[in-house]
Amino acid sequence: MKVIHKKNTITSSKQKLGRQKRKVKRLSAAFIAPSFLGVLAFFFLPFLVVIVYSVVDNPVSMNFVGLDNFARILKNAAFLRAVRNTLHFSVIAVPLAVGLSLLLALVLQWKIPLRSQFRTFFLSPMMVPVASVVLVWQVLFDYNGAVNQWLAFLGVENKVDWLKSSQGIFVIVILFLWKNLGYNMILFMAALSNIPRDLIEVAVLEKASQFQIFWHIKLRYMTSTLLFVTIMSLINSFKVFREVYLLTGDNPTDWIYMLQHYMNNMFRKLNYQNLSAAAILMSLFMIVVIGILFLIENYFGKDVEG
Amino acid sequence: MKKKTLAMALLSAVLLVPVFLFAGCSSGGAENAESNPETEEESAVSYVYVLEDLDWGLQEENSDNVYYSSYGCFEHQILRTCTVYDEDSECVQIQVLNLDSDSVKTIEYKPAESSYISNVAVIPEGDLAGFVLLETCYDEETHYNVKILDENGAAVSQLSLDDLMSWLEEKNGYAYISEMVFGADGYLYLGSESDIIVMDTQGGQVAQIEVPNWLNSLGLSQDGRVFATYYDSGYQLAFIDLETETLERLDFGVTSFSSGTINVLEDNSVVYGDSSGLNMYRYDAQTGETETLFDWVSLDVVGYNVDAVYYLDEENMVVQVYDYTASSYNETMAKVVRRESSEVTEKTILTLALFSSDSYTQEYVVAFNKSNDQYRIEMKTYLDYATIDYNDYMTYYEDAVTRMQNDLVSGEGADIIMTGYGVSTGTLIDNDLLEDLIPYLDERGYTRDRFVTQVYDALMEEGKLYYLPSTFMLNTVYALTDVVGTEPGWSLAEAAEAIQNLPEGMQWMQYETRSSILSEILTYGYSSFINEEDNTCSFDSEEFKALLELAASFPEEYEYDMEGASEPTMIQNGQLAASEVYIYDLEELQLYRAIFEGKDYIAVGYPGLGGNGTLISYVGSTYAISSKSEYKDAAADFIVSTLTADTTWGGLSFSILQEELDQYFEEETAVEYLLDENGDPLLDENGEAIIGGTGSGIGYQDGWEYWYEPCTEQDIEEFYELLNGAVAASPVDNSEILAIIEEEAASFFSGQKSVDDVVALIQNRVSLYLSENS
Repeated sequence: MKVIHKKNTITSSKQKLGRQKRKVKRLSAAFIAPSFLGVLAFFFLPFLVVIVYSVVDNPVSMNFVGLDNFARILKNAAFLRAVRNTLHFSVIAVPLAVGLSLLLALVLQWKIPLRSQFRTFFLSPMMVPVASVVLVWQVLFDYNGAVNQWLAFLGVENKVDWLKSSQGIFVIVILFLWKNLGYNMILFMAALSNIPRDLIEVAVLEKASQFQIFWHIKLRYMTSTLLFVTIMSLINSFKVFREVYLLTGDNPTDWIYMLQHYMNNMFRKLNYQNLSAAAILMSLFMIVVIGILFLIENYFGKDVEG
Repeated sequence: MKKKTLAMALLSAVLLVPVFLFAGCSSGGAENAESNPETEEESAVSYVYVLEDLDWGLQEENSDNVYYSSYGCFEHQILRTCTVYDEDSECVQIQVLNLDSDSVKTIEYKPAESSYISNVAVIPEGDLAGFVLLETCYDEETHYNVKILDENGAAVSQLSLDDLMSWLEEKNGYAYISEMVFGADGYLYLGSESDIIVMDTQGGQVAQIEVPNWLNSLGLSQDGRVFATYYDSGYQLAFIDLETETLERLDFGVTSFSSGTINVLEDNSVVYGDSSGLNMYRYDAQTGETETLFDWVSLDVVGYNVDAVYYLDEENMVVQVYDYTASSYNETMAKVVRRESSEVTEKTILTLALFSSDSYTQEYVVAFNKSNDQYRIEMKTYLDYATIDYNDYMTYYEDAVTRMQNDLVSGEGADIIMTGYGVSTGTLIDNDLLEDLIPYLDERGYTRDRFVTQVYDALMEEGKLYYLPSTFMLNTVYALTDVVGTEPGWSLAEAAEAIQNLPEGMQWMQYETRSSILSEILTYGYSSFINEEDNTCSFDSEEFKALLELAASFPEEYEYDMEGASEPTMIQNGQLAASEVYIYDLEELQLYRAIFEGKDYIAVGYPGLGGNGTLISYVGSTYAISSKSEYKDAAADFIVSTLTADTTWGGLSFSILQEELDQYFEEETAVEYLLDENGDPLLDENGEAIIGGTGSGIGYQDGWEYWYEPCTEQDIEEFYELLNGAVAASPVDNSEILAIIEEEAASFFSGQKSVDDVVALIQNRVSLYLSENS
């Protein structure tokens, strides 16, 4: 009889615990529901529509054509040019955006004069609307712009057509860095301030060099931030179209023709099938790259606490 | 178990969200109504506005010798003035219709000899206390007088405006009073160009207000305050502050409106119509919100033809409309009355999508709606000029294109599409959005042989007819054979060579500039540099470089000389080689025969266009049936109805129906003889009847003139000579290629870049553009 009573008590406690857990779960679900529904309605469902468009002949007759659209755009010179340019830009801009912002974060950790002013200075591009920034860039890099005038002052006779030549990519890279360095820098500064001080103090006591401290401690502790910054920079590099579009319009020269130019122009021509196929290929590429970045992060950051 | 529960929850959410979303869109209103029966009852009553006749009961209505000239509305009383022309005199009648009693009061006023009445205003004291007339007297000297009449038309006083008019003449170079109203403050407001002058009834000047840019109109609010509408970065409305002699702007959120439709209510709410002639709106000054009252097409009224709207109250308005077609002109007034929707016969709605409003389409739609018992067409426009932001026009324009595009693709947008604006017709065809019209036309008896076959064939795209205009004209270039040779139609290279080697002292065309010559040559000839088979181009060729260099030899801008030689004189003097011609009636052919009289000339056409170089272009709008429409037959009925509609285009273009074209030629070539007082034909020295002229002609600034003669078989032959071999412009949008060329060429023209650099850039950009389509 006693035993049975004990068993009942245990069962009752377990039930109570289970009810509490369910309650917590329901509460959590209620909190997460708005975001979940938002993602579902504005990202997941539209993406399903994009998948549907990518396998039909056109958005009106909607005849299933399998992977024909993918095959077609993979042979399309404009698409391939856009892919090449976008990758080219990302390969240059992302490492620079990550590296320079990390460098700035490290420098601003030192006790240098006007530190907070510098920090504000690097963050200020985030507050300026892109359209205004682009206007400034046009004034600077136009054929008759300020940069060419400075070059002429320095004795360079031949003007450079910055926005309509192979130099265009560098103009865009500079614009991208100017716009993104501040945000990345803040993320790195936050990560740097979270590194346990005792570890660095021990390393200093152990006579580790600054480089060793940076490489073996700071960098390892910043692995997840590094990954995040890299992914964000990569995504932003794919979105640089906005700046290029405002600088050069729908039909730029082929040196700065980006993937989103292709997509934008396909949209204007009602060619939703090519647009969707291109978007899916781009997404797949991003998924693969981000997956690889996660693997790298797991490899280097696995032994880091927290 | 936990995983299973979670999975179930996720799955349910995924399945339920779309249901929730879509259900939310459609049934939300019903749920609300269910919870509140009163609301349900209220919301169930919906209203529509309908048009009702306004009968003045006067016999002379619309008779030939009566001309209505101005209107007004005060406290349920409609005022209009009309000028009645007798055999040897004229008389102005002021007519007041009392809407409450349906009675008309007519006051006659006979202007002094050699005088005419240009403006009429009412004195809104009490119950139409009197009238003010502005009378201009052309005696030895011109005199301007304001005459104040009492309510029975008896003269009360007279003010001379001679001093004011002298001051205006000195200031503006001419004197003209365009607006006159009498405010409740007892002052007379006169408007001219960019001045508002306020006078008391003794003739003393009370104030003078300068208007930014130009004055559009003066009006009276319902409580008798005077307001002005004027242009200053869009149209503005402002009250007049006499103390500070300034304008106090009333912002009701629009930059464009039709000034005749403006009604300012006592609380500064504004009832107005947009300048596109589409809708009437009511801006509520208390809430700051604007509601659409009705669209004109739903009242079977062509909104563009609305001269004035008088807002009496929420349920009643009076509208003044003119109805102008090729065959008639009428001015009418009617009541717009609010009714419950249930009182109005319901019809199936067809949607006509058009990029921006167009008066001719409104005419077609109104005619169709009036004659069709089963269907009613509603117009859906995408570019709204009432709220357009002119500072960011391109963004606004592109948004409108995107909205139109999305609607058309989703099938939500249209049964009928007005093509050629917004989304490119070529894009619509490429995406199977347009229905082939041939079966629908054939079914209705409009087979190919009933059309002007040259036009019908030119409209075809790979054996299908996707869009149809109702009228057309021919565009071509007439040029001296010494310069362009004797064969019609020419290539770009031939054109460049001819223009480059003009005889000494001879220009190609009048007012030619670098960009105009480039546009003339490339608009149709650009395709010479494009290989459509593999979507490649050759804008870096020597031929294209030569073309740019040729264009660069023309001036950047021309100086228009008002007193210089006219085009006909210059052609006659051997100073001009060519002229661009738009042939919309047979008389144009006559005119150019006269202009080139004594010269050997030919319709050489546009370089690179193909055929004989003459272009078939469409006057008015072209319409297509959306392949997603559920009512394709009704849509086809509408398109067919446009072919024979009596619109303002009649007489300014050729019908695409052969029968109508033949009838037009028959009427134009009908011979009328000059008659003597007995009605017998006048004879010339050979005893033959003298053929009368048309009574119309054209004159140029240097005195060169031509009087049109009745058309002859020669004109018809010449017309067909041009038409046979004429081609239609491709529906594919070439504007982006031309924009690239124009943009890059500008830096060569300004001397900033070499021709090699420029053609390399054009080649680069156009190649990329073309490769997108491959």
